[in-house]
Amino acid sequence: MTDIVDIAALSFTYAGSSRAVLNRVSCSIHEGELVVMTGPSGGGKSTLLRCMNGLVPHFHGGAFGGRVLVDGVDTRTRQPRDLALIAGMVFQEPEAQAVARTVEDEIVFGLECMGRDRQLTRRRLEEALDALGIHHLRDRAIATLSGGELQRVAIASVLTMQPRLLLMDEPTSQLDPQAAHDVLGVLCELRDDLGLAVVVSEHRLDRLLAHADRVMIVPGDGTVAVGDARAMLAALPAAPPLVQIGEALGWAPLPLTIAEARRFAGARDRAAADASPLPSAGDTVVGLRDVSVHLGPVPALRDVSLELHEGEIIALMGRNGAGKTTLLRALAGLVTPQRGEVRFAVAPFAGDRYRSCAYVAQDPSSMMYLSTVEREVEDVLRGTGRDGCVRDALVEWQVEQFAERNPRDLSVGERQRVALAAMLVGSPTLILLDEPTRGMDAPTKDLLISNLQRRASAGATIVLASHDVELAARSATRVVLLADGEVIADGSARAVLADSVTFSTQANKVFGGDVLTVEDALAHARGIG
Amino acid sequence: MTIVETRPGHGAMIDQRSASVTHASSDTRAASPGLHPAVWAAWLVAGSAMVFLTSNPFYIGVIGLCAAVVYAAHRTYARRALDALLLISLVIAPLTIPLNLITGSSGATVLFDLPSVTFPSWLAGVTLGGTVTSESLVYAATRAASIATIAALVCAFNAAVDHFRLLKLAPPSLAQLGIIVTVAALLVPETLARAASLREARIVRGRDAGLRALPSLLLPLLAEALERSIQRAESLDARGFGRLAIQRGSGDGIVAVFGVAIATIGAFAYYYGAPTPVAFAGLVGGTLVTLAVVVRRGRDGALVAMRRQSMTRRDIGVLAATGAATAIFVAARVTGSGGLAYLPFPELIAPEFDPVLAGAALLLLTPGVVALMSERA
Repeated sequence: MTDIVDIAALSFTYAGSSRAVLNRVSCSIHEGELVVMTGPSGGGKSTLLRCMNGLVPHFHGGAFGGRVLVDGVDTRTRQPRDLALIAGMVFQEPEAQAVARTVEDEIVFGLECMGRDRQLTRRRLEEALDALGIHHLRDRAIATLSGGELQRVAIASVLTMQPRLLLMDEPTSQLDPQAAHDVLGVLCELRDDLGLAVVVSEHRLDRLLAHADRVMIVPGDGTVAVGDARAMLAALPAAPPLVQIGEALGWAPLPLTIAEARRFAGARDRAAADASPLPSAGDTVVGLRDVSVHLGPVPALRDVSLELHEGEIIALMGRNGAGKTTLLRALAGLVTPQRGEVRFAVAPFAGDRYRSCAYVAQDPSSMMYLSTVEREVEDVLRGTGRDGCVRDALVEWQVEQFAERNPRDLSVGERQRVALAAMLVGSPTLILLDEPTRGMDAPTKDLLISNLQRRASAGATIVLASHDVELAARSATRVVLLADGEVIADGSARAVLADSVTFSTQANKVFGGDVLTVEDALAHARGIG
Repeated sequence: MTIVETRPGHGAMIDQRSASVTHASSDTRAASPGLHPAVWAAWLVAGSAMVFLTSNPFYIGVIGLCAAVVYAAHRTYARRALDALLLISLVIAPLTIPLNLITGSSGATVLFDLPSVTFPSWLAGVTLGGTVTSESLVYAATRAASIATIAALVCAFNAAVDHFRLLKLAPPSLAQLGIIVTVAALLVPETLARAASLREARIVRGRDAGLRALPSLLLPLLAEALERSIQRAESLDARGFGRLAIQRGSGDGIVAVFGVAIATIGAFAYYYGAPTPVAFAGLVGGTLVTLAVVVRRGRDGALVAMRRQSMTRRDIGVLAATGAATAIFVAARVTGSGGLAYLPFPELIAPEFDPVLAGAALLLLTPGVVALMSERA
C-alpha cells in the first residue's frame, strides 16, 4: 500500500516554548485508510495534523526537525497553499474557517480560488451538499447556522477540493449523533470508493473505532504510537464503552462494533424501559410556562413548559438547531421570551440572578476576557458576590497549574475547564452548561461528571445541553428531548435514552432494556441487574 | 416518561435524519436573491455623490430618510450588529458640530462668545473659539447631517449586499486583493458580535455591562480579533488561497508597483509642483501601465466564479432610477438651480426647496420598494 504521508524523526517545538510537542516521531499514513488520532487535550494532536499539510512549520514557526513527505512532497519545501490539493483540513473551530456569506459560496470558495471551471465546481458542490446532507442549507447565510450545521459546511468545503488526504480536527464535536453518523458514513465512502486517506483527531471514539483501520495515540509526551485498530484497543487512554465492557467480561477479540459485541452478549433485551420513573424530585427551582422565543423571525422555542427541581441533572438533547442553546439562554436571562414566562421559585434569583445561577456558553473563549486564569475566577467571584475560594475552584477543575497563564494560550479542552472553574466558582444553585464536553478528553469528562454529581447531591440544579449521549447516560437524572424548538420527550434518562434509535448508548444498543452505562451492562451481563 | 404532544408537522421523530429539510425563513437566507451586487454598489455611489453634491438640509434629509428605509427593509437578524455601527455613527456625527464651531464662526447673528485663542502665524494663525453665530450652527448641523446620512447609506449597503459576490465582479487580477479586503471586512461584524458575547459574559458574571464597561473590553476584543484573524489566515492558507496568484509570476506585480509609483509621483508633481508636460506624462503613463497589468492579469482568470451573475429587469430598473437621480443632481449643480448648494452665510436664510430635486432624491428609495414588493410577493 502506498504511503500518502511519510513522517521521519519529526520533532517540533513552538516558538517561545521549551517543551517539544513532538519528539522524533516516525510513522506513515497509507492511501485509503482511516486513522483515528486520540490522546489528551493539549497533547499535540492538532500540531501533528498541521505537520501533515505544512501549516507547521510554515504558518506557526518554531523549531522543526526531521521531515514530512505528503504524496512524496517534502512539506519543508512547499507552502500549505501548494499542498491544499493533496491535503485538505477541517479545523477544530469551524467558525474561524468560514469566509463567505452563504453556504454555497463557502463550499465552492476553494475551487474558485484555484480557478477551476464552472461545471466542475458546480458538480462538486452538488456532490458535497448531498454527501453531507445539507442541500437544504445551500442558500442560508453562514451567520445563521448552528454550530453543527457550520461544522458540516466546513467539511463540505474541504471535500469539494477532493484532496487525497483529509485531516480533521474533532470534526464531530458539535454534531448531533445522527449528523456525526452521517459524516462518518461519508468519510468511509470516500475512503472505500476513492481511496482517500483520512486522519481524524477525536476524543469520542465510540462511533469512530468501528470504522478505523488504524489508531494513532498521541499521549502528550512527544511520542506517537500507531497500530492496527484492534491491536491498539488495550493501549487506548480512554476506551469507548464497548471496549470497556468487552475487557471486563473477557470478550476476545475485543469488539469494535455493536454487531461484534452482540455475538458475545446474546439476544438483546427488547423489554420496554418506560417503567423507569424519574427520581424523586426536590423543590421546584425554576418553571418555564409556554415559553416561545424567536431569533429574528425564526422560531427557536415554541411553547416550552418545564419545571426544574433541586438536585436534578437535566440533559437537553436534540438535533443541531433544535433549540437547546436558546432554552439555556432563556434560563440564564440572556434572551427574553416573546411569549410565556420563566419563573424562579427561589427568592435569590429574583433579585440577584447570577449569585445563584451560573452559565457556561458553548464557546469557552467567549466567556473569558482577562489576562490570567486566576483573575478570571476572581472576577466572577467578585461580580456575583458568591461565597467561595479561587484556589478551590482551580483545584476542583484541575487547572491550578494554569493559574498564571493567559486563557487564550490554552487548548480548547483546557479553556473549557477554565471556563467551568471560573463560572461555577462558589456554589451556584442553578448551573447551565452548553456543550460542556466540547474538546474534552475522557479523564476530564470523568472529572466533569463527578463534579456535577457532587454539586447535584448538594442540591444544585444542573441543566446541560449536549450531543454526548454517554455523558447524558452517565450523569443525567432526567433527559429532555427537543425538536424544532418543542419539547418532544421528557423523562428519566433511562426512559428517554433506552431504545432510542439516535440518542442511545453503545451499552443499550448491545443489551437493550434499560441498560445505559458500562456499569449497567456489567451488572446485566453478570445477572445481578 | 412524559411524551409531549406536538403540533402536526412539528412532531419530529427523535431518530429523524438531521438532514431533513427545514424551511429557512427569509431572514436566514442571504441577500443573494435580492438585487445584483453591482446595483448596490451603484446605489451607494449615487447616494454618496448626491450627499456630496448638496448642502441643502431638505435634500440631505430626504436622502437620509431613503437610506433609513432601505436599511430597515434589508436589516436581518444575522446582520443586527450593523445597528451598533449605525448607532455609533449617529452619536459621532453630532460631535462634529462643536468641533466646527470652535474652529471658527462667521455670520451676522451672534449667539454667544467663547474664549478664544489664536495660534501664531507659523502655526497657520488659526483661531479657536470666539463668537458663535446661528449661521455657523446651522452650517455645522448640516455637515453633521451629511455625515449621518453617509453612515446610513453605508449601513444600508452593508445590510443588503453580499460582499463576497460583489468581489467576484472585480477583475480576476484584483480578486486576491478583494478577498483580503472582504476577509478583513468580516472582522467588523465579527468584532461587534464578539463584543455582544463579552457583554453577555459580563452579565452572567454579575458585572456592569453598560457603556462604562466598554474601555475594559477593548483590549480583549482586540486580542480576540487578532486571534480570529490568525485562525482565518491559517484556514485560507490551508485552502489554497493565493496559490494561483503566486504561481503566475511576480513580474506583473513589480510592473504594477512601478506604474503606481510613477503615477503617484507624476500626480504629486503636477498638482503640487509645476504642471509640466513631464509630470502629466508620468501621471498618465503610470496609470496606463497599472491598468495594462490589471487587464492582462484579468484575462488570466485567477478566480473563476461558479455562477455568472446576470442582471434582472428589477436590477436595471433600480440602476436606471439611481442613475437618473444622480444625473438630475449633477445637472442642478452645474446649472445652479434648485438650491442644491445652501450656504447660511452671511445671514441665515431658509434653504430652497425644489420638488423635482426632492423627487430625485426619493428615487434612492427604489431598492427598499423592491424589497418590500418581493417580500409581499
